[in-house]
Amino acid sequence: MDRSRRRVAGLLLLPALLVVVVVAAVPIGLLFRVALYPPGPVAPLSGGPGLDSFAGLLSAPYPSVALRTLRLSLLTTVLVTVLGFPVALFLSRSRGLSRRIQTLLIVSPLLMSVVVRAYGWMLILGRQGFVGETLAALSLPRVGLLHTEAAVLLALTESFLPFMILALAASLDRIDPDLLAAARGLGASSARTFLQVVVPLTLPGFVAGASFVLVGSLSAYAIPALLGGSAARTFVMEIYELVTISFDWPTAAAASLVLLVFASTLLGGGALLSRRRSARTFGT
Amino acid sequence: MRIALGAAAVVAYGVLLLAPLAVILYSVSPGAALEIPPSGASLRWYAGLADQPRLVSGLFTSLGLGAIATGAALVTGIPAALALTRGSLPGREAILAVLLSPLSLPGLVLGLGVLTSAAVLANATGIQTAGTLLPLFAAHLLITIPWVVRSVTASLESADPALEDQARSLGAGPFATLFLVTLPTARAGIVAGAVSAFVISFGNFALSLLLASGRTVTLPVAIYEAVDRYQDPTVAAISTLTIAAAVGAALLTDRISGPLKTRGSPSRGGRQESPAGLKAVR
Repeated sequence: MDRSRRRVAGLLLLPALLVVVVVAAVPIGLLFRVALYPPGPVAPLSGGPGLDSFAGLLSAPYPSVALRTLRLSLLTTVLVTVLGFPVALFLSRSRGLSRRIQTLLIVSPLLMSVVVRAYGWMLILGRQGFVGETLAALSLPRVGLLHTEAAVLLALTESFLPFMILALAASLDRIDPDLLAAARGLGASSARTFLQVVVPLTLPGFVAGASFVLVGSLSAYAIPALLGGSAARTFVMEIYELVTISFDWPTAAAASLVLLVFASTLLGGGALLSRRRSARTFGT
Repeated sequence: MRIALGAAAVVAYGVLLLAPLAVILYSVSPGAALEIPPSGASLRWYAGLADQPRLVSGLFTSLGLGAIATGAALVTGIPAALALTRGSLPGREAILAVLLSPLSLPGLVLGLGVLTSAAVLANATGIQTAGTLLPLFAAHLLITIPWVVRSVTASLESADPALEDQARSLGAGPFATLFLVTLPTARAGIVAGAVSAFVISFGNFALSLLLASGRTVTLPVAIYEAVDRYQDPTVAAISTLTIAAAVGAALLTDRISGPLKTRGSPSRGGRQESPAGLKAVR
């Protein structure tokens, strides 16, 4: 009975697993093969195998672009956390209609295409946009914020804020109210209860949210391309141009794999950390 | 304290509303230039969409692609969710992690991988898939299955297993139990999974960018290309339509699954959380 049940279960899983293998695992394997060819715009690919395309990533402009990308992602994560934590607290203390409306406000942007939201920020920040025209209407000098790192940071923060709010709120919702009552009963002030009970218990949510935001902003393309342009080139923008402009597939594949390994390490580390953390906190 | 938190929430929700509001406001602008204060409102840019074949064909491509990707994701994802919740499989967590892993892959990288695969396939067999809908469909299927699996799994986990036992003991066969008891109890999860799958496919950009060309350009890619080209609100008009659809989808999910929840699915500690929003649209 159990064995035939497992066999049926295996068959039921097969199509979905097959999609992951054919559309994710095989393509990533092929990227690795392409990366082993000598770098350069050669078609058809020949020569190698070697690691020259990986070595090429150590020379300009890649290290500085990688650093900028990392800096933008870290700053996004910090901003999203600072802005998201009070909102998550407010959300987790809301009930009924207010909670429903807030959730709608948080979730709706996630259902809109990132291109549409980036376009919205272009309209706001452009020299002829809402900010520029408002300044002009007030007879102040026009300021164009478009094509700056600040614009990229603002739009990245907006686009990842909902994820952080939801991750933190999920942690806050899971806190047993008895714990807070116990802390109070044992004489802890509300500030102390907050710092020593509430904040540590949100760490799993924070780690999950932060690793997602970090990886997501590292991988973002539409926002840096539309709002930063050449003023804030990111690693993914380089990959795109390697493919479409310089036709250097080996270097593009190598850069893709570096990003992939880096992102997976971050996510895996985050998952481990938050599991260990919650194991320690909940004593399981 | 509560007032301070409320103020922070108002600021955050304001920031989230800014970009869509800017698009909506610009879309009803009477002239091509943005005016502050606006001198009136007009729907001419919506009417003008009829003369934008690239945006219109992008819209239909995205609608069609979203529909077939969602259908295929349901066909593959629901059986997988059944196996995960009712199959008493060893390594259930690991299988679930594999099925959800595409959500954490950088979209552009995945797109490059699929493009490379299409080129290798063409070299090896002579079958040309570049420029057809197939690579896009495969890629969209990959990122929509996780949403269906996640949502249906959560729904099946919270269903009362006693119901299925009762159906069995009353003489229902395995198929009757499946179609008359198990799947109907998971209906909310299936519908929510389908809505999220469609929305994710419809709005996807990074994954589609390298795979869409010619007649297979999707709406987000068409909007991306048009943003710099048209210095008038035409793009804002079609973008506003997608914003309205997104809000509609959010309301629909809220309706189906009751108040949208931020509470996690019966969560196993700090398992790697892929987009937290997924739980919310459950």
